[in-house]
Amino acid sequence: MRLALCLFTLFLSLSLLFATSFSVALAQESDPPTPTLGPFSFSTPTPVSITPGLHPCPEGLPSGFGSITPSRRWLYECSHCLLSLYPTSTPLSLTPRFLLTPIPTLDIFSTPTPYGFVATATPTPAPTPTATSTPPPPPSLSLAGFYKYSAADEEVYVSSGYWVDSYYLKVQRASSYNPQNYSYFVQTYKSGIVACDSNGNLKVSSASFNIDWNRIFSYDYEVSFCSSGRDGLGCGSVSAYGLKADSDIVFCSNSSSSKCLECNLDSLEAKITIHSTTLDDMNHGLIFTTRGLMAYSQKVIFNSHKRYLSSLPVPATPTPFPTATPDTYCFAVVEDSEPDISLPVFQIGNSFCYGLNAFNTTIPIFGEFSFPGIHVCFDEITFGSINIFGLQISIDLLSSVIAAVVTLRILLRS
Amino acid sequence: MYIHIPFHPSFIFAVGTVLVFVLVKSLIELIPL
Repeated sequence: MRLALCLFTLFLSLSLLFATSFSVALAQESDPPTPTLGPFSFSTPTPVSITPGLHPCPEGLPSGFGSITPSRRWLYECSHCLLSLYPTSTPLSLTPRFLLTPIPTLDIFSTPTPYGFVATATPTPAPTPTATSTPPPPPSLSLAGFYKYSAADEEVYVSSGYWVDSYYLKVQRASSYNPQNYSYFVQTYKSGIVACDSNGNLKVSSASFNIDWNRIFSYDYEVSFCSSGRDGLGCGSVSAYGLKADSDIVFCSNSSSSKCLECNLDSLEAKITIHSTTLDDMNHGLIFTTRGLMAYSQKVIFNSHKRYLSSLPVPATPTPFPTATPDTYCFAVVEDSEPDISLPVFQIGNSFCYGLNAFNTTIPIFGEFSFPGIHVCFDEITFGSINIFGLQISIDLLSSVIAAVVTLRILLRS
Repeated sequence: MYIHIPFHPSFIFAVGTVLVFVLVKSLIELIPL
């Protein structure tokens, strides 16, 4: 009699459990939507069929081999390809130690080397490795045209020019240019870049020279600030013009010489790096004068300076890693994404809320009463599963078995 | 005010089974055979 009662109770409980889940699911539709993490289920992972040796092998090393840890499945299915490359090795000794291909990175903050613009219209002949030969004379270029190089939009007509060396270009200027005030300048314009020093060595590059515009141009200035300049220390912000500069750029907040001393920049040295991906952004560059460094009509006094002009290619958008397909599975190493031991992930699933909403009412004696509203929410939780060296143990299933055993013992005792 | 009570389906299964058992047992004892 008691055993029959227990079995009947178990049957009723199971029916109640499923009926409760169904009714709760129906009631959930009327409740406000709550974030869920998916239905609760004791699903077991679908076994994946693994067939070793059936995938075609690439010619040479697979892509990514040596830089990432291959997955166990990839090793199982593709280790025969590596055996053909390394006959003496075994599949278990496939420690990643090959093909450490350096990834090209853009390091725009490093000290660049002096860069000379290349005029592709008249390419420089390749140097021959002969010890006695002298460098060929620089080719002459047609540089006729106006070039702006001052903050006052002064234009200088350049009549001709020739390369002094691989970095400098000698130009013949034909304007009333005052080298005393503008002995050094580096300026960029939409039509190109103009750089010059007091000796007339002008670095000119323009669109007509077929510049590789898809580059990042950098100006590096190493200056020591605050000599006894008459114009004081200028102020400015390179970011206001869409430029980017290193954090160690030093600008004072006032252009008077007294403020310069207050800033205590007499012995400071600063390296200024300005770089941009487009030349238009560098339209407001820095201008060196004999009095100092002029930045956007602001003047900064410096003692000495070194100037570098460099460019780096704009980094290309990295191509996404190709997803391995069954036909080309061995052509790229599939990274081992499954750890050997993983702890269960506690998740909160559906939430079922019941209760009273907030309301206001008036009680004759106590006055107005405000009920804040109380809702009791039952949050469904799942324990997840634990992975120990590929063995999946569902904590949910384990807890259900334990609950069934405990329930059965309680029913049998009573 | 929301009061959140977490529950696991196995807990509902165990408690529900025991409650139903007690309920059915009480009903049987109340009914005079």
